[in-house]
Amino acid sequence: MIRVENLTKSFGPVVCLDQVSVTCEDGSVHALTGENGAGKSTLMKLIGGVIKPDSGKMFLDGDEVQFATPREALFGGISTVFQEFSLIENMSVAESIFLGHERVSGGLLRKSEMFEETERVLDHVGLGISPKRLISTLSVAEQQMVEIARGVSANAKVFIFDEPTAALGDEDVKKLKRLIRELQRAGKNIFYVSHRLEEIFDLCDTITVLKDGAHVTTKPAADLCVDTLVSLMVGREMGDWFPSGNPPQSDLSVQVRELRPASDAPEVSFDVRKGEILGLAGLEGQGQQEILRALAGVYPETTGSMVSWNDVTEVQHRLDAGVGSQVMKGVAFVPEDRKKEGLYLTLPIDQNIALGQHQKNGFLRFVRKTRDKVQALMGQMNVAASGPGQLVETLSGGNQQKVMLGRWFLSDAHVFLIEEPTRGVDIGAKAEIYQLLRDFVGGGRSVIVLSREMNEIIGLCDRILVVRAGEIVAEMDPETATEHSILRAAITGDPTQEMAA
Amino acid sequence: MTVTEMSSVPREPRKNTNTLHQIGRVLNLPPSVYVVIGLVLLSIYMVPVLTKTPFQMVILRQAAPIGLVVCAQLLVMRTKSIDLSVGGIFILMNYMVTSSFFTSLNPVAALAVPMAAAILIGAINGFFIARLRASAVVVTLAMGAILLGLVLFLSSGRPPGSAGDFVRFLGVGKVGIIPVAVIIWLGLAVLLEIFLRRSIYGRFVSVIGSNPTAAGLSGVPVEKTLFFTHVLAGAFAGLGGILLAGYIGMGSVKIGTDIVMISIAGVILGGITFGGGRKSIYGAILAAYALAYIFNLMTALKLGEPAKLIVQGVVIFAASAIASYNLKRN
Amino acid sequence: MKLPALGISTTSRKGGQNLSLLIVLIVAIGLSVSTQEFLSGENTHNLVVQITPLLLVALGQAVVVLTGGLDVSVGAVIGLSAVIITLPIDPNLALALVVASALVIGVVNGLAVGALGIHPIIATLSTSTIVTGIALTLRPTPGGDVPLWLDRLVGTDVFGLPVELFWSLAAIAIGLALLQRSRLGLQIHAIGGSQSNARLAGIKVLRTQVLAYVICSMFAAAAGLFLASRISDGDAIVGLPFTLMSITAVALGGVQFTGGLGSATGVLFGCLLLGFLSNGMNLLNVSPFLQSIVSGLLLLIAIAFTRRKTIGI
Repeated sequence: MIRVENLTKSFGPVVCLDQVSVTCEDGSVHALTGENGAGKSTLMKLIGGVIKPDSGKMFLDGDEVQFATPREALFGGISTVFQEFSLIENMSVAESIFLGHERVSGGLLRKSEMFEETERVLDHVGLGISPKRLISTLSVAEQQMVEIARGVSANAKVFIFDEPTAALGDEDVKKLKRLIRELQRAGKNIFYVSHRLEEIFDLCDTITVLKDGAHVTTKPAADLCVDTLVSLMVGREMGDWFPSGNPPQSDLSVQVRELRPASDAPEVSFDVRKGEILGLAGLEGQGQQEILRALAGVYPETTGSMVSWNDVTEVQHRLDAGVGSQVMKGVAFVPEDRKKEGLYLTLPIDQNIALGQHQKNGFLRFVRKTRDKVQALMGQMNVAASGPGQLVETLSGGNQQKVMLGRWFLSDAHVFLIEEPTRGVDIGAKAEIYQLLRDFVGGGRSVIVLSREMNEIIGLCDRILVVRAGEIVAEMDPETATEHSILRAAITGDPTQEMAA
Repeated sequence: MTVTEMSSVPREPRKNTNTLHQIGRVLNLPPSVYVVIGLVLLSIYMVPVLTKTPFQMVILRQAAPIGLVVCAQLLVMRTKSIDLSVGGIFILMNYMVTSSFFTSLNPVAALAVPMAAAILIGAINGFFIARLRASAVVVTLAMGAILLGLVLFLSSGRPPGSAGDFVRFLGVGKVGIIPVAVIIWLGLAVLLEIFLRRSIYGRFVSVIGSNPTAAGLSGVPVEKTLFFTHVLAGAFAGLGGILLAGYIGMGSVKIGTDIVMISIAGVILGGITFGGGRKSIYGAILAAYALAYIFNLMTALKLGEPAKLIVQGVVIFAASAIASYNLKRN
Repeated sequence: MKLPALGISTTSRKGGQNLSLLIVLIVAIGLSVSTQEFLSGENTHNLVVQITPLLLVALGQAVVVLTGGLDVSVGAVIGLSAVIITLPIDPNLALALVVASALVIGVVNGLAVGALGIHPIIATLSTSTIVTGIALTLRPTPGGDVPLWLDRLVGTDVFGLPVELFWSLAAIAIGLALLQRSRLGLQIHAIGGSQSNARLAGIKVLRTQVLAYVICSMFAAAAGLFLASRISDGDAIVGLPFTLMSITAVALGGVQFTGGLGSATGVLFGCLLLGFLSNGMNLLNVSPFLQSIVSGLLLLIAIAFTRRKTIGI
């Protein structure tokens, strides 16, 4: 039996997990579920020794335990199959299972012994591959099985599965379920993190719901149904800081046809009108980000057509020609991770902002003076800084986000593609950013956003497309859409049974 | 609820008024500044004659080729690349301007042909590094070896020639008391600085150095910029090689062996690290001057070649260790 | 199903060793057909003598490259150990000093890269300069005497075979045991594959990096002893060409500079290839200077086929 008591974890000012207590009995498959950002993964990382809690205790079979690393956790009896794999591509299956506790004699590896042991464990988890295969040659499902085999080999008591089926096909999901049931029969404690409700009801006997880092409820699965579960997951407060604007015009701003971000992705087609903010909603990792990035020109293998209208001029886009080509044609992309993918932290504000405009000019041309324009724009956007010369790394999150948007305001883009427009941004700046986007589309331009926060999508957008497994499964009007109805469509792919929250 | 948790008071930008911050700013100067100050003080104390104008001119003239190759290395290092073929380029330039075929050409051609060769070498480096994404270390190391082999092959058996008059003039000529080489070096360094500051290319160099991932995702032509940077570096190294050949006046194949090391030393002393593109060119100019100064001071102190090497290595190691430490602290 | 973006798509961790073997065989067959001397006893003996020091350095270099680093101080270390072993002091003390200096240089390199975070090329370039400076201070011009024990280990025959062959065999055996059989070798491959995931698996990344640079310096020091004995001189700059040659041999042997992929046998093939080419060009009366061009071109071709995600260094 594993029990955690009052686990709390904050990252900076953000409390990701607040005083959460959960118990998993022997032979139980315990589901952890909740909306995007509810704290499920944080909780599992705390239990799995990846991160350390700020406070709280953990008991395994009655004894208090603490783990500094995943490896300590593994040999303490807790095996985690991570969402992002912790395997190393150039290691063989056997080496992966034994890495960190190799069998050696006199400094030399006892390879045959490890191979035999690996074969035994692989056999146990029902994976018929050679222990000598490299991880890089395995499918995602096989890699997952290797992670599980590592836990079996270490004789772990607790198994944690973090969104294990996100990348699996039907056959592999069945295989995984069989394996989990086997572990259950062996009396292991299993945590199953997922927001695929059908799997949860199929596999799990107990369900814990988290919301905004807090524990909502723990109930036997038999006492719950899909709709009550969804109701427990939703219920964030709607703020009233979303600006209202004029309804979109009837003219098209963007027309996307038969878009495939990658050769094995499903096709999507949709339109955006002038003056419209279109929201792409969905659970994490369901392909909405790929759709947005494909439009931004990030993937060279993208196929499909995109046409946009700047005032009355028709612009043909080539999606395989790179981000630079899209920028030239007035399409701006604002990535989610502003520090890693968006901003030049070591450079001043004016260089970050002016870059968008410079890119449209020739390589060897001199830069036109932009400082005054940047200064004026900073005033309009209310960027709190000492001046255009301040380094971006010294700005707060909200101001950094404004700088990223400002780059494309100045470059005169007419289509914005924005991932998570307000991630890690305080309320005041959020409201300002929403207003900036509203003002932007007010001039007959358009924005496509994706966001994990359902409320943001509902409050900000003129229209919502729900994406599931790379396909658009529902189109919703934010006037009538609720967190509940979006989540339901995102989970089940079935928009028909809309119901009031 | 999530929103309230996320709320944090927007940080007011810190005003640069407190003393600690000012001390920090001073410490943020390129290391070459301190090295130059130290060298001047040391020579006033030990070899005062070095600080006199004629000797200073000698130091500056020796600093000119170093300064140009430092510019070359600075360009590529600011885009997170490196050019280890600058030594090979120096050797090739020396061969080309001293071999009888080239000295018989008219002054323009005698300068233009070697420069074209240097630019071509930069372009080949750039093609492999930017287009094929091969490791810059290996590409330019191989290029250096090829160039050295080429010169040895072409010149084998023949006694080295001497440089033509025009190249000689570039290397040792003077305008008033100022050596021509120094004018070329400082003029080009200033032009490069203006170009980097004012051109769109310069902005691309900064952003690629600052965050290559973001540069790619925001549509900056990363490959093109990197290619052009290597071409430009080839040109600067080529001119540096020509000035050095003109200074020495005759053919030599030993000439470029430590140029790679010196160029990297100059960049690091100039306050620039891989991708770090904040410091202006004066740091690099001072660094070239400092390196030439060190060599002269050590010669004056009767310290031999080995001691110079040790000092060079220690200086680079210390400067780069301090740079990484500062980077980690931020 | 879509695979995660894998940096590599190979089925073996040995890098491109099979391709290298193929090229080695082609070159060897070509040379034995086009020249009469290639397979002669005298020439094979020459080959062994030529290849042995390169093999020593390249195996060490490969250890560092497998961690994702690079050591350009190997040439300087060769020079320093050749100088120290020929100092007019007690031979045992000289040997102890060679080992100690290689140890110190390796530790400094490893700490500079792993702990200080200095780029490997800058860190090892500066130690290289310092070490060459020290070696030249100790012995400005080539000279000195090689201790008797070392003299016997080079240039003689054992069981009718050149003793150099045993140096090579020992080196390759150590390389194979280290990289293919030992726990340290596994850890070296692991941190070359992914430093962060190796850390998750409990591997002490810094310790492994330092050990890799130490091993590399030790191999270079052994090459220095070999060269000192072969030319019966302590020469401070005898090793400098070996820096580039070791990198070339490692690249030709199919070791990937991104780390994690490559093998000791691949390095052997890379060294054989370089050795055969230079020997063959000698036999065919090609200028020795042209050889350096050819090996440079080979290196360019070899790495043009390396697929990397990163651009730049």
